[in-house]
Amino acid sequence: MLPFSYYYQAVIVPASICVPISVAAFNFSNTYRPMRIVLLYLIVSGSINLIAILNSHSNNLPLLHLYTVVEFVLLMLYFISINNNRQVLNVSYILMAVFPVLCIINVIFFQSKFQYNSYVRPVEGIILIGYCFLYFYNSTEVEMTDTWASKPFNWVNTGILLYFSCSLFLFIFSNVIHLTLSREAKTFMLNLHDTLVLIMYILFAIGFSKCKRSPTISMS
Amino acid sequence: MQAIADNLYVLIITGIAGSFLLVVSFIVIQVRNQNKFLKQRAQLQQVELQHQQELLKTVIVSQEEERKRIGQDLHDDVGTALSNLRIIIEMFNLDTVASRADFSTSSKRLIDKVIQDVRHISHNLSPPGIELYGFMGALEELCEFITLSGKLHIHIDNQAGVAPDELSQAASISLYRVMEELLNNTIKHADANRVDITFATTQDSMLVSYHDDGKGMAPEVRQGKGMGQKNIESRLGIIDAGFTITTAPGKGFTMHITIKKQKG
Repeated sequence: MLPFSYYYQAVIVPASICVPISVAAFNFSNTYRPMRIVLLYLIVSGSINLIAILNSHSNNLPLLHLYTVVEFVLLMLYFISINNNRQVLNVSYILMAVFPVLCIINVIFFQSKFQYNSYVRPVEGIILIGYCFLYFYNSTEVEMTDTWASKPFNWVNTGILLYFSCSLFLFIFSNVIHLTLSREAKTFMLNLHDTLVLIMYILFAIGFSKCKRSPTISMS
Repeated sequence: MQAIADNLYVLIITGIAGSFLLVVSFIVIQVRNQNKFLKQRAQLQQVELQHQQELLKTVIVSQEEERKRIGQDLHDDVGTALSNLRIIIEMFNLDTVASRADFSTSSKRLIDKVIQDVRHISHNLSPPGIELYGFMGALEELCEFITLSGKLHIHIDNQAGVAPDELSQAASISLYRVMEELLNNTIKHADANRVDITFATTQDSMLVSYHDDGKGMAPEVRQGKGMGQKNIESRLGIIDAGFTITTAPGKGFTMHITIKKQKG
């Protein structure tokens, strides 16, 4: 009999992506551009995960390199769509163009496509954490009309912030973990990572459920 | 090597737990602050609403009191005089010369009283001086009347030129009523000898300063605003004028009013 970790990592957590996608589909008429980008991110992310699971008998790490670029571009598009500041937008476009190039340089010169991309994925995490903090910083500048919980972006940004902040250590040490830790320790680490993913999906689902028409964009 | 791997395992778990704690704390603090801010704003709005309702109530009560007073004036003064006139007419005896002379004198006296009473009531309703002599003329007339009664010495210093007379009719009447109310309060409660009213002007507003040398009042007394003060506040609110009050026991009473000049 296969252990619980197997079902948790290969079935439960990957399938949990259906929760935010279902909520988004159910509330689709109330969603707006930034939330639709998040939905696209979930669909693309789910598809790549599915391909990775189907190819789990061989080394599927090249997919992680591709996933990192796609994830970064889509999440940057999300942050661009909730941002009005010209300077921030300019920096965002530059980052969107430069980061994929960095990933290509990394895979050509520094880390093999069959290794974890532990140089660029933490960079991605740090940039996205920065954008989350920028959102929360700016949300205190604008006039507050609704409660924190009623704003979908608060939930989505909390999900992104929580996942990338906590997973940062896993991203940085991914190759070291793979090479040095015992099988049990590696399984535990993966379970931990998957739990963070699960929390992020749940927070996204709450965010989608809070969508109403005529949103107030709270970044400046 | 195993020890290093174990160490790394613990370090990563600690790092993840620390990050988790930091992010959760950050979000909790943000939610708490935001909700606290919204709660405070709701409370403030509630207080503001309550204040507006109180002002509205004051306006309604004052209006009713004014009507009652006019009714009473008409009944007591004009009504009584006209009743007396009716009795005189009824008792008039055309045959006697003395009665004819008395009739004429008494009737004229009563008619003059009615004319004076009606003028007095109408003057109270709408100060005619404002239309005839402008705001300053009407105020000077009021102050002269009070000064002549010996209750108070009032000194007006107009450094604003024609600005007070250029106020709109609504602003003039409101400001006149405010001055009337302030003088009334000074006479009734302040035990003052002298009042100074100063008019000054800036580029976009007119400043009115009212000061009496009376006994002043403590802040806690000022908190429980009387009808007169609410009336002042309500009238100034209607013409969008700002005001500040400075007073303390033994320091007199000072009020600064700022009225925005009308553009164009």
